[in-house]
Amino acid sequence: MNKKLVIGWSSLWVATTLVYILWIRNLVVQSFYDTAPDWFNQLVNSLYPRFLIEKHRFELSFFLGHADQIIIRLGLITCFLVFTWFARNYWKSDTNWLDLLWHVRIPQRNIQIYTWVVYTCVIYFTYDWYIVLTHLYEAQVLYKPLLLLRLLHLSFPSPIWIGIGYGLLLIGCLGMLFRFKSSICAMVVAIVFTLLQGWLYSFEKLDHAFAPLTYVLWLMPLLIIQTNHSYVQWALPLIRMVIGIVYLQAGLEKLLIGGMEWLDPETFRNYLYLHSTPTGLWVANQDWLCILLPAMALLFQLSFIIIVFFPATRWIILPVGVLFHSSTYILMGVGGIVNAWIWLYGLFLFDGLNTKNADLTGKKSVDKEA
Amino acid sequence: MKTGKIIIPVVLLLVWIPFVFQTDLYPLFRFGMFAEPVHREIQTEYFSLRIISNAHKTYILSPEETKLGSLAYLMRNYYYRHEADTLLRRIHSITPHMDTIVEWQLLRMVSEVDHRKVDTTVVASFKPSSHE
Repeated sequence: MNKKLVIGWSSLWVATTLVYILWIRNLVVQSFYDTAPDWFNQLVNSLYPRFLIEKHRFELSFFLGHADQIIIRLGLITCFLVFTWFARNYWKSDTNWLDLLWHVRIPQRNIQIYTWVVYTCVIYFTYDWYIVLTHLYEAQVLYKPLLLLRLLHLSFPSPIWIGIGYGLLLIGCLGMLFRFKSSICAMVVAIVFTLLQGWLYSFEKLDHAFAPLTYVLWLMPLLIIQTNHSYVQWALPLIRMVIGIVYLQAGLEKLLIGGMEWLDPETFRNYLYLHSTPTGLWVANQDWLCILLPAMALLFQLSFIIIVFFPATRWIILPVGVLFHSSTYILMGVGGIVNAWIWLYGLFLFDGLNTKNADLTGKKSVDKEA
Repeated sequence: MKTGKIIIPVVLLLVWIPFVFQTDLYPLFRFGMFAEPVHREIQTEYFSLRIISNAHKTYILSPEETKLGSLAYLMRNYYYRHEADTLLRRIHSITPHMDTIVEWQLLRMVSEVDHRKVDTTVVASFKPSSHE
């Protein structure tokens, strides 16, 4: 990351902020009162299809708050970038930890284990997708395609095409498990999984049960190709980083949307009342648990990413993660005891061999390659 | 590592896009579940579909019967888009044994978060016979 990029990005953020304050914020107000130009209304409806629904439920300040958040969040990312740039250039060490992160060599045996983790996960959690999608085919009068499917001009598939898609998904997964044309199979699984999941969620509810799995599936082809052609595998650290970012974003959302109010025991208690599970209602009556549990949940989500930089922490963070997801299910009925988020913890089980300054006698030099 | 210098920043940039715009841009996801603080005084609402059959029997349709996992969201979204009648007509068209149904009703139930008091109103209805 060079200095020009950091300066360019920061300048762009300042310019965007000015344009927002002087022009766009007013358009948000106009859009709320149906007086905005058509192009802006169309843009809002494309990005926020729920706006039409939510504006009957919330006041203008709610939407202005969300619009302001875009600028604040861009600012947050700018801060991340500047910090990373400083850390990379001014860290007083012979070997920069940010560079070390990407220079790992994963033993072939571990790659095979990770492959099994990911593709058994797909097979297990999609076992009923053919049946569910054929039922949804009957209900296609209610089909409202997601943006990706609209851009691809894909209508809801007929049962034959659902069968072909599901068959391809299964064959691709089996190909991965038994190392048959792995690179091609990994790409086929990523594409077919994304399409089938897209159709599944094109009935006005987008579930996040397979969100990290979707990201992992798109990055797996890189890992497989690197295993065959490269001495270093930055794809695995990237996969782990993306999973860490997912948790970080979930934690940041709570702080940015709810603020410290999110940690108020009443907020947690009201969530428990809303979902009304027997254990949840019991916990709602325990004051100390209503203070402790949300604080622990937030701490867990914000700190999960540490595992990427300090792999030894996985023996603490991963069991806490299992507790976190199990508790979400037990207390609120969301997710399940066996879920794809926990399944993917298998990708954190083994350390990679750092290669940046290792003696690579007889091997291709990583530094040379870099 | 050359390709990594391009792919790593691009991937890391992409996963932050839904976070910035606070919306899902499938296959990119926003993780804002349970982020909004919930106040006790804020009323929560639920929707249900009620069927009146030709035997004058009345019952609430369960999401399992429609095999639509997102039925709760569909009911709320159609209601706020002022399209509740359209939803009832569409649900009717995909329901087996529809000839025994005399009337569909969309119910809106409003309660406090702890469900102590629930107010129910019929917000839309659809009589299939009047549209045949």
